[in-house]
Amino acid sequence: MSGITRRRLLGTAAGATAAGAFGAGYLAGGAGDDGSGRAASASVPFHGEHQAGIATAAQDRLVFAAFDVTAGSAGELRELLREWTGAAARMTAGKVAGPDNDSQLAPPDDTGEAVGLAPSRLTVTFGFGPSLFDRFGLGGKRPAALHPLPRLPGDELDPDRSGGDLCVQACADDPQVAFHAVRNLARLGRGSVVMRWCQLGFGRTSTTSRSQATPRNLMGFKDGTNNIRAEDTELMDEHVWVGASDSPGWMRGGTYLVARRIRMLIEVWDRASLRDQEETMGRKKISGAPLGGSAEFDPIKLSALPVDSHVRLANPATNGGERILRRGYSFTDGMDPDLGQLDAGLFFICFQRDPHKQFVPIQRRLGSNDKLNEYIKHVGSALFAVPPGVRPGGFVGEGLFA
Amino acid sequence: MLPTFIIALREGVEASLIVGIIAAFLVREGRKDALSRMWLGVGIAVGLCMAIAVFLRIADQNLPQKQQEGLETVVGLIAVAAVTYMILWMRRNARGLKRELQENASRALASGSAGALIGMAFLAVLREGFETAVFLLAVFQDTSNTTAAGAGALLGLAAAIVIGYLLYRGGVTINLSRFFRVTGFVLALVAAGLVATAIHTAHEAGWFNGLQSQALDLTWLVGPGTVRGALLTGMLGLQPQPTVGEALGWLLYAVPVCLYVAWPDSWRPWRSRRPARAMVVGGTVVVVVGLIVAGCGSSGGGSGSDSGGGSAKHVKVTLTDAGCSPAQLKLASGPTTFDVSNDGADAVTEFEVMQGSKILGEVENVAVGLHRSFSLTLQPGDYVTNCPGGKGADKGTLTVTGAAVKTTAGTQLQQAVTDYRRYLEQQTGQLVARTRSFTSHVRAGDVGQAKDLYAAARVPYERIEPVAESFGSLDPHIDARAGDVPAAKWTGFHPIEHALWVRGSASGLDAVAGKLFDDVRLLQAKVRGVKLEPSQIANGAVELLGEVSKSKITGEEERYSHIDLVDFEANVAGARAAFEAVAPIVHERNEELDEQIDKHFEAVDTALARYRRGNGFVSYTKLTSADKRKLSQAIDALAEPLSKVPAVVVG
Repeated sequence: MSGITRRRLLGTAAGATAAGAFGAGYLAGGAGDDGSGRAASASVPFHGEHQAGIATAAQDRLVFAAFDVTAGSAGELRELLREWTGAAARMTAGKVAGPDNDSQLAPPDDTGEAVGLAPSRLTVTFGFGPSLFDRFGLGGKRPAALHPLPRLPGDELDPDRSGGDLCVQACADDPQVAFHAVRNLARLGRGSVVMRWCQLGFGRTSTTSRSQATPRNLMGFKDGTNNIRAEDTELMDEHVWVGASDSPGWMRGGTYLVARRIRMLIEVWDRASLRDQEETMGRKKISGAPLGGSAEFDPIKLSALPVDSHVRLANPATNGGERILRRGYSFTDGMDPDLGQLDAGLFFICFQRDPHKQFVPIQRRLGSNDKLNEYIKHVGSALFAVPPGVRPGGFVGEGLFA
Repeated sequence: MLPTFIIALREGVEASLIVGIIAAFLVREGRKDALSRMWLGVGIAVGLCMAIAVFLRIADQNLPQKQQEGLETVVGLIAVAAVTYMILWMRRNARGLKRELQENASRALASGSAGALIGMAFLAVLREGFETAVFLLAVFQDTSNTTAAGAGALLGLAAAIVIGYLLYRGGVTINLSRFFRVTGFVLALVAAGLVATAIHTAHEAGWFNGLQSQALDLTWLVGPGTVRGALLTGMLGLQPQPTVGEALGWLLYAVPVCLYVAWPDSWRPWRSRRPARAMVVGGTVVVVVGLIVAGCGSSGGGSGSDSGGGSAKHVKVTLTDAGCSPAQLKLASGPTTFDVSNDGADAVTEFEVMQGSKILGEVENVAVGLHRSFSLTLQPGDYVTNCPGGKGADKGTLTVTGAAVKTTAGTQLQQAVTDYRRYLEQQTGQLVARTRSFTSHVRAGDVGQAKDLYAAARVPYERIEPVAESFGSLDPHIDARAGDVPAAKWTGFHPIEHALWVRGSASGLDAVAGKLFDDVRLLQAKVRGVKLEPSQIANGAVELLGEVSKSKITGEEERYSHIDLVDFEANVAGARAAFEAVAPIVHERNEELDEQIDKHFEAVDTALARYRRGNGFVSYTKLTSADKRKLSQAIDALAEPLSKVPAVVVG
């Protein structure tokens, strides 16, 4: 039975309008404004060549969950992915997760906290971890680029916050909508998966579109000034999307996701002098201008930046032209009870075509030399292969089972 | 304590009386030498009675639950018969007792040696002693405080010996007639209580399934935990919530016998003894036969208040040493009741009807001399009958011909309720027995023993906890943790747990232990009358798993003993039993869901098995975060599909 819910009407009508407005804005490549052209009631299409939530202009909130698969067979796994795809497609369109269930005696199919809320540009992005390919006869399909990340200098990784067979990245402007998505997927997966770890993020720390202003991270600095933008399609094809010449075939149009939970030593950072902070980063704090420049988007003169500054070490020129698409979120998980300090920082997410050529060398350089290391530590890490987009009627990763 | 005191006193006085008269006679006739042999005879008789009592008690404790109830029923009925006969006989003969005895004695002496007299003394003591032993056993079976009961018996015996001695010496004169009438009246009431209990244990043994609906709610009169309640239950066997059968039995016995005993002689309309005796004996026979007929009449298709009636065919199957008899069965399709009896086969106690490897219906524990029934709706086809342990004919064939029978959903739902009710009664029975043992050790101050028995007593409660919770305040009375209720009102298992594990002492726990035992008996009584719906049963399974998530996996339940994993397993076992009751319906309507749930029950069992140690589990304090997480996620994986069952069962 399908009822006409207020949410569906709202979603469909508003989605149509907003899609048009958004599309116009996107094509015109409007610069400078803070992205208020987006409507809260907009919904991002689920199906397409690529999964949404990568090139999509970053939403305000994140819920990121890693799962371990307990299913006993490839068939069960496939069934799970089919169910998850269906639920994600409905939720991103502003609908309830499951068919409407009226029975008083059965638990409701949708948990209900998103009823009446706008779609809020919800995107749900799925990824497969290296450990998944150890089972279900998938060994032959493992992408060469998906072997686990090596130990990197400065890592203080907590195994309980790292790894995972599967991941779900839910981004939305309304935190309740993002949470509702992950919670319902976790519920649908009971019996086939168990949650391994889960991270909430508030406040985006990157710009993936020219229509968005550069946000600030918890260190007070603008973050993502020099990020790849979704509009730069050649850069996206070169650095982010797995290409037609790459293998395996089922990953073409997909990408690789690296997630790093980076804890900031807030109390220590806050007592650093302004000059220290700016020299650590390589930019002015308030304007975001690179040292030696005067405006945020002034071209960077590497020689004007301290040799161990973050921006210089991370710059593509320092790294043989390698770049990554950053799409992270600030997080706080309250207080660390052991030390009485804030547990907060950056949940760093990046997308690239080959993590071992891009993220790993960059981070190796940073981990060895970055002055920023005095104020941060990497406490969680995970790598996932993000399959290409889903066509209507298909399910995410179906190329794996073909 | 009072019943055992009175019976020991009475039987003791009778025996002392007879022995005293015989002794006096021997002395008077100048046969003092025979006295020592008489005392020897008395001593042997006493010893024999004690041996019989001990044997019966051991036999009772070593039998499986159902047979135990059966033995207790038999013992109870013998006790009632013996007491009744004794009351009636004494009522008539008290006045002429001494004279009659002396006449008998002189006849015996005249005919030969003192041997006959010694024999009389021996037989008298033996008879009284055997009656006492049986009666005491029956009362012991039913009491929570065996120490007090034992003390009462010993006191009664001591008093009887003193009275007997004084009578012998002539230093005291008692109006024997009145003594026997008063004690007879009290004993008649006690015996009525035994009748009610015997009817109850007969139901537990599976012999008597009729008249099981609750007749009265006497909790206002016999409220557990009140002094009055303890007196009335202990003395007169009045249960808080007797069934129709029990109430009828009590009344039908007590009214005529008490009237007979109390009837003043001057009112007697008749002179001769025979009509009176015939009346009472006849009346008792009528009562017993009537009850048996009423009970057995409705035991054919299942327990009384739940059976749906219907025209079931009855097929007789006998278990022999060879196996099933008859080995080849040909039946027509339709509702069929198999009446299985055991004809002397020690090794064969089960009968199963199977299709392939699936058991469609079965009875177990059909020991020698017992019979049990079960019902099936037979569809046409070929089946196998199985009597494990038989030599030669352990497997037989069952061919069913005729048209296919449509089973209505109604019968399946009724079967679910019947099956789960049986489970509930089994669990409350275990709970009462184990709590009795546990609380008696607590009251005796045996800290070590009590600690050993704690976990076993918790298990049957945790298996059926949602049912207990449905009765309002019973669950907090039995299972509240510290802080859930005001400290002065904290009762049940956990204050005892705290005392045993934290204080290391059982002092001051008498009242709490007594109340706990009363409360579990009240739970047992309430469970007998509870109305069950299949969707409720299914919901109970889900609730039990919620219990695990809320208090067992967090270690919140057993804060001092840390046996949370024992409770965990019990909750899961209870959930499984509830699910099994409705599983046939689920299987028919959504086979995949049924299989999924079975799979997840297995996964939980496997996950839990890692933590077994000895007969129990490791202490909760030994679990790491990773351990708890795995268990918690296994429970979530099971509970999710299980939550769909109520809608499936009803829809």
